[in-house]
Amino acid sequence: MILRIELRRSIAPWAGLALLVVALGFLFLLSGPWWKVPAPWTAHTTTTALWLRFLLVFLWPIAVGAGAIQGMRDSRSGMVELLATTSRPGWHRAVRLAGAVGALSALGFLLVFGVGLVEVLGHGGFVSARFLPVVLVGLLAVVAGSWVGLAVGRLLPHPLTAPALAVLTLVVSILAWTSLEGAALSMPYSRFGLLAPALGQPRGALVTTAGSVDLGQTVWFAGLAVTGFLVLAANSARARLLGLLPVVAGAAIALPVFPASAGGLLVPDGVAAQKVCDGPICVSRAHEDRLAALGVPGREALAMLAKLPGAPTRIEEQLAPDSFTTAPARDPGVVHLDFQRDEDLLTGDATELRLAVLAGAGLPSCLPPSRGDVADVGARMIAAAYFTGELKLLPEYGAKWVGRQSGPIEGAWAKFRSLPPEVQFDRVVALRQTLLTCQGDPLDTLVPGAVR
Amino acid sequence: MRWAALYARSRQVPAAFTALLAATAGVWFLARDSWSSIPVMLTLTAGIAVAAIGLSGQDPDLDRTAALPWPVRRFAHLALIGLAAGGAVLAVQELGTLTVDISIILRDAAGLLGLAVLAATVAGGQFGWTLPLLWAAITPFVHDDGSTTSHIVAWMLQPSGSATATWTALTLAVAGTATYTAGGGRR
Repeated sequence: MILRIELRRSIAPWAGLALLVVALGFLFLLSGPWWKVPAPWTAHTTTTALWLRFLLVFLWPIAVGAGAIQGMRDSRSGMVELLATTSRPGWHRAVRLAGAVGALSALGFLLVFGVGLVEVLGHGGFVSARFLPVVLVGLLAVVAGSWVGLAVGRLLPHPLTAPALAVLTLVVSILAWTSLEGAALSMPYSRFGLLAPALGQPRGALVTTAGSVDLGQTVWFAGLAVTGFLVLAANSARARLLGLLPVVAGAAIALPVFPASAGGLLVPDGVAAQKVCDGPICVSRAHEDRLAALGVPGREALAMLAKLPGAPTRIEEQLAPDSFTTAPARDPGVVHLDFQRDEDLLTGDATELRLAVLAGAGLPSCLPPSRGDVADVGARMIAAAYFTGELKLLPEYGAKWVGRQSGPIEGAWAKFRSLPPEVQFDRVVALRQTLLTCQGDPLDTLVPGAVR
Repeated sequence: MRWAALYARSRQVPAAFTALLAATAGVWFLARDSWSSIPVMLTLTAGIAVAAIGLSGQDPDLDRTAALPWPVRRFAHLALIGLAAGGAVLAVQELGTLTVDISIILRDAAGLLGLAVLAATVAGGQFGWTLPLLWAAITPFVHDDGSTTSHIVAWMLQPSGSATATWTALTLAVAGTATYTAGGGRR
């Protein structure tokens, strides 16, 4: 009965509604990386959950601030003494209040994920239960934040408390977030960054949080929530001090568990990134439909490459999340295809898939994806054209940009084609060496002095 | 003089002013080596959010019975908050080597003050901090795709010449100041 009144009369509905409206408004009104490759939030349920954790950088201060406003209610309405005369213990009321505020804040967060789930289903994305730990840790963080807000609001019922606490949470959240976001900003990675619930951008649709991150954050936020509740319910200074124990214990357990470097934050998703193979060709379970499409053109392309010395014998999907600052991994025996970043490849037909395998004679660019280069893409286009006999734009990221300055590449292709066949073969072998070691100019290897 | 002291006390001005100075100094101290438009925005938001707690009295009905020209006093209170928040940021950034354009600070201070006042008008002075903090919290995570929407949403971080950002800030400031000056905080 009291719980129902608290659900209706406290700030709880507004807290949940604020989380829901802010998150959905942000996701739907603005276009950002959450709508784009390599990690659209509609492609995979785990990615949806990871984007939700990214949003916590500003949703968490809302939950904490709402809790603080509610925590001050008794003293603002001048009824603390009246409540002290009741014969029931303080925690009876605290349970109802904390339950109402925590539950509706959590519900708001969960509804955002629900909308994401509907979007994933509507876009034909990949659904698996692996999102559960990511969402549950987020829920626990929202509940812990609102309970800490309640406790602080009750302890310090001053008009300044709520804004000061919300500002402080926001500053801490942003600092923690920048330490996890990696190369985007100059802050170094720190384990303390994981004490706030927000994660950096996922940058890949086949990743999830590492088990150590989930475990440590579960312990830490559980400790924080218990402390928030105990301080809210306690009536003596001693009980409040004792109530701080869980959060200290949580931090002491969580900090050593957290990964030591930023590289340990995200791991391949156990279900979506599982390899599905058909002979020499392997793709992830999330892109299983590509396996049938890749079967014939993939084998054709491997047969064409086979005349090169040390030719690749397998085709595998690139599973790691995208990095803006380092070049893709390379392997002499394996051709890596990146279905996450290259949307054209994900919907491409047999010709395009064959072209993608043949590009660069089976090797990726030596440049990070954010830096396009005519020499680099041009050389890989010409290497593919050497096998197919026709110069075509590669089905990969940045190809449209190169298409606009295709003049020099066509010139280089014409020069290359006029060479005797043995020379052409030797140059393609040399190009493979250049792309494997990433030393030297790739286009210069094929056609010396082609672009100056 | 006695009236001003009583007014200041009833509107929590001493606490708000102390908190404004503490928030400005605190955020500046954290960000002094990487001072740019994001720390400026955070500093102004923190300062204005804590200063906005006094934007409604203890008893608006009682205020109304006093035969005083309230609009002038309300406007003076707003102007004081804006000048204090903007002035504090301008002052602290002179202590370091990096400075942000004064027009950005003026624009952001005016717009954030307008947001705080709008929230105070709609929900009461104790909620004045909610809107500026909410908007500032979202701003750093908006991706600039060149569209007008993204420029309006991220107006606090636009460069100083951006007309969209200036107009957004101006609209917020004028709307907020006008409604609060005329009607005061929510009862």
